[in-house]
Amino acid sequence: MTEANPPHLLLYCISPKDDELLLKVLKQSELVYEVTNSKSRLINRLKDGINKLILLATPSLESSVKLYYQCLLEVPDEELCRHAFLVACAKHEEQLAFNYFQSRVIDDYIVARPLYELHRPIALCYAQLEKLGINLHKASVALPLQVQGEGDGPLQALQEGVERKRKLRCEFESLLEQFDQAIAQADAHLAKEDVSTEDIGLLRLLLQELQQNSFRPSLIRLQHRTLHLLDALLLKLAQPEENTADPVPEQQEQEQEQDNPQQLQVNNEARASRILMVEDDNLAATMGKRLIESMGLGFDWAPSGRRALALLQTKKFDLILMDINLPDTDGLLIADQLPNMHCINSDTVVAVLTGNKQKAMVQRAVKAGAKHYLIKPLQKDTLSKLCSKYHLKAHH
Amino acid sequence: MTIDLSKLSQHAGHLTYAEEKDLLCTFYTSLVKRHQDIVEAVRLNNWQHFKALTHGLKSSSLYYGARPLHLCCEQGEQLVDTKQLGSDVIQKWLADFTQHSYAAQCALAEVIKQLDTARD
Repeated sequence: MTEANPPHLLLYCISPKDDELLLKVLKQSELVYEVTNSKSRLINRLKDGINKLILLATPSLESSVKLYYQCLLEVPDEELCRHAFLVACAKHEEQLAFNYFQSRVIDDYIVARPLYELHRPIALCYAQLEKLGINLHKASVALPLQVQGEGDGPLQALQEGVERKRKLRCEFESLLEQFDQAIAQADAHLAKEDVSTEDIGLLRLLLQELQQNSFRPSLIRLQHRTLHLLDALLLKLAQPEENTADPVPEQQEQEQEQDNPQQLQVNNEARASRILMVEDDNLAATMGKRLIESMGLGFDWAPSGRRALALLQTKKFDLILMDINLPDTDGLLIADQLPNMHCINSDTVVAVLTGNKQKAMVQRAVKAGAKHYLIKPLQKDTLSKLCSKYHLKAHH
Repeated sequence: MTIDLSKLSQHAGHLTYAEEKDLLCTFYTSLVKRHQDIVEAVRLNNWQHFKALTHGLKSSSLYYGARPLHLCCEQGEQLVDTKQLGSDVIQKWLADFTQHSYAAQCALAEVIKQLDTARD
């Protein structure tokens, strides 16, 4: 059942007394908001399909970030709703919040303890909601200010300028809507096994447009859906019979992990070192998993920058194998920001694993703090050397 | 040599018979799909996508030791970097690529068949 009045904002707040003023300001605004202190509610809201803001106000900035990324791990990419992640922090945490913002760990922050600028949280929420396609601004230009002197000229220029910006925004939003409709249509056809060449042509065009963008968080969800669907579609068309018999390796691996909790427990007990592979190519990830696990090490895989950030915030790794070209960001940006993120993996060794042999790229990797630059494909001897250099432990 | 599987265990660790066959089938399927995607990217003049595809295949072709295919993909990637995207140049590259890709596909299919026969 759909909600009559879905919230624009979910505020996770542990101590309402600490954020009394913020709550009062929200109450006076036109924002529809929900307050919770339940982690499971937060997880459910991340996958309810409604675009929204998630604002975390826990006792410290670090605990807010940690909680959000723990929840994010519980939600698969395709179920994740479009949202912006905001934090409320204390004045002394502002520098750290800004670092997080620059690293894209958070989408924005509100200095709320104390709250100096009363309307700033609302202005910030409006701006973030607009990025999510929710426009709460007034439709017409209502100017509380009197433009002094020179007749109607400046006022007219201002009104025309605002209207022009509104028009551009509408065009962008309608383009996004077209994307969504085309994907939904092809998805429905795929379910009925009635896929036309038109569907494929349209999806290919959309895919090309999406791939031209480097890191646009508002498009990531759409991008994931398109890539996922297109993969499924092309695989089905290429090998319809094999596809029915064998799931794609990625699914197979996930299912195996879920079906075999005992194996995981043995790994944990033996305390094998864990390696995170940040890699968008399914085949390279499959091969990496085989090799790493055959050496008795633990393996985790992040196919995108966002998933990598979520894992890096919540799970300790002993080595990170980082690809450079990722669908939503550049792996070197993550490597560069990792020490500033002050998370459990800030000191973890990063080895770049790429097919790019250009000298300039090697220099960039060194600048970004990578300790090794490995050329794909990953080889057993190379990995063994890294294991002995960093004393990685295998389980037997 | 079109493909060379002697170093497969260097990339995948020790493999049982079933795992090896499974892996070779994955290589084959992946190569067929990647080939189609590259042809389509050329048809649509989508050079960014073309570069991403050739870059990926350049690395993955080394899993099964398809050195000529690897070098051909490297050349394809360089064509985009150096903006040599004239129709003649690209069509010539595509003809080379098709030849190397089909040769690798045939070689993989042959090894899979041999594995099946040996088991029977």
